[in-house]
Amino acid sequence: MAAILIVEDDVFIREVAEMTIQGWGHQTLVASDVDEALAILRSPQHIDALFTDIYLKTAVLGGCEVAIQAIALRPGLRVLYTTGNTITDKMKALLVEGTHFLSKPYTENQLEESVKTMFA
Amino acid sequence: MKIRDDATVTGASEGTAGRRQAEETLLKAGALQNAIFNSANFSSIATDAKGVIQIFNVGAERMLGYAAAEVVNKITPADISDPQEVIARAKELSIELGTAITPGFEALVFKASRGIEDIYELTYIRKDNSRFPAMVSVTALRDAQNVIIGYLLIGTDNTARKLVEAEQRKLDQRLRDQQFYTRSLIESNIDALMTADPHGIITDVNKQMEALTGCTRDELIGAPFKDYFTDPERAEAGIKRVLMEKKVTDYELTARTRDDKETVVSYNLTTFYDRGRTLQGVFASARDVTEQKQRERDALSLTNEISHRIKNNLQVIVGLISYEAKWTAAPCVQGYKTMQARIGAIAQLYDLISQTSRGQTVAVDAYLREIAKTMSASLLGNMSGIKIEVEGEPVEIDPDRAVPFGLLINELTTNAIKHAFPGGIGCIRLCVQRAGDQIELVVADDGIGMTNVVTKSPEKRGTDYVAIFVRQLGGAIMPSEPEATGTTVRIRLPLLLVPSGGAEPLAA
Repeated sequence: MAAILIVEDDVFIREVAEMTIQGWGHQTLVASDVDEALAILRSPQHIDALFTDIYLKTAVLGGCEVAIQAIALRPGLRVLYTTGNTITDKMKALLVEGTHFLSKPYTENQLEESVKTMFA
Repeated sequence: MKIRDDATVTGASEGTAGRRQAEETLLKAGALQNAIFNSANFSSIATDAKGVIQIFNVGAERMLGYAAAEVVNKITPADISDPQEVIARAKELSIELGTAITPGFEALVFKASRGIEDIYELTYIRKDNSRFPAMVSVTALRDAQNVIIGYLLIGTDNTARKLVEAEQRKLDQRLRDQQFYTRSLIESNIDALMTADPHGIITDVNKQMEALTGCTRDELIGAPFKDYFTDPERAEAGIKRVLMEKKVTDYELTARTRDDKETVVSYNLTTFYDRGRTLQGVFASARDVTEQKQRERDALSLTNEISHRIKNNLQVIVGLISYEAKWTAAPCVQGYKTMQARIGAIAQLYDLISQTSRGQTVAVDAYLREIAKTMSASLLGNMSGIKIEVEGEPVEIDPDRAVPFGLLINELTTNAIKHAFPGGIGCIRLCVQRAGDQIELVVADDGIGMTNVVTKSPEKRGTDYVAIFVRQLGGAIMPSEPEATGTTVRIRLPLLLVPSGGAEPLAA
């Protein structure tokens, strides 16, 4: 089982994702914005994967920033992005290589498939 | 007074060879004098030292309308000249020569009296008071002691030349007016205009181009066009492209001034030619689109914000359904999943609308593919033996009808997934094609067929939805043919779909 950091600014979505992922036997850590996420990433806690929304409140591409810094802090970390917005070229240029993407709204099945693919 | 024709016979009494030679010389001189004085094309007026006319030849008579007898020993040439011009000439000569010159005959001959060659324009006044311009050459006549005994004024009628000159002046003025008009059009244009030679060297600019680049016209002309943009290679590529294609529109560049002020401009470029159709260069018109770009960024930002909120709200609904499904008996779970698929179809529509650059239509083939992908992921998963294939002609649909159209496909496909494949293996085909003036939507599967399906009451809702969506789209469900295997649903819809370019069959 893995430890997954969930970064999502919407409380309900974050908690449903947390319960769902925990339901599959994984450990979860949660953050609602860039600063909280980076604080956890800089801590000594064990983290296997990052599941982050791209659009985080005032930071339009906050999730991209989190992922870039996360990989710099923890090379080899698995990353799964999500967003309700269309992926633009500017956004694509900021996505960390070898990572995965899940568009909103996603179902439990789609999230499960994405998490499995991320760890495959 | 006319010169006498018998002048050549003077002194003809000597009979020597020298005398004959003298006679021949005199004869020639006389012939020459005759030719000059009897010429109708030259007015020859000879005066005495005081200016009183002594000789008034036929040319003078013809041009001025006086008979010689009317003027000889009576008036001076100043009396048949424009008095204002005579006064003006006296004033000019007084200044030029530093001595007071009296307006009158003196002004006409003063230079000649000082041995200075003098040819000038003068307006003569005819007997009938009409006027004509003349070119007058004045020569002082001197005796053996070099004392002035009179003046010879030879004039030519300058009217024709003056008319030509006047016409030329008119043409010159018209040309200047035309140039001024053309320049005014160029300068009054709100766009930055420029011409460049085929090598991209600037040959002309207007004020707006000076403002755009922060350089003067003199600095710009002769300089490479590409030097005034943040991306010189793209600017050069624009010139090369217009030389090949003759016309390039909406070519975006960012102009940069010397103090690094940048302006986003949209260029329209065309080639231009001379009368012989030889390429002269490139005409480029640039419109400042900075504000337009800002508006587009603002609109995009707003769209992103709205999309973010809508998708998050849909995600909350999907999350609520998932949560409810956890506490629901197994037979009802499929109903919740179907509901999630419907929400997914609507969400995909939002994505497709935002991805459509024209903003007015949705590409049906791409829409079908996205729906198939979403349904495969949410209802089937990677391990499923049921596949969804898409065959879509490249047609487009307006966003208002895209929602019921997408939900119609969603219902039919969900129905096939739920009922057609009890063994969990099969294929569902989604197809949209033109059928005359209608559109035919086909949802077909290779499953067990309708006759073998037992429709449960709660699941009849999907069928009801299909009927509602078809009515909403103004279409009709076509009667189905008996089939050995599988089910095919054909729906004819009015031509609400617009054909677009290209024809690439798609498969999900």
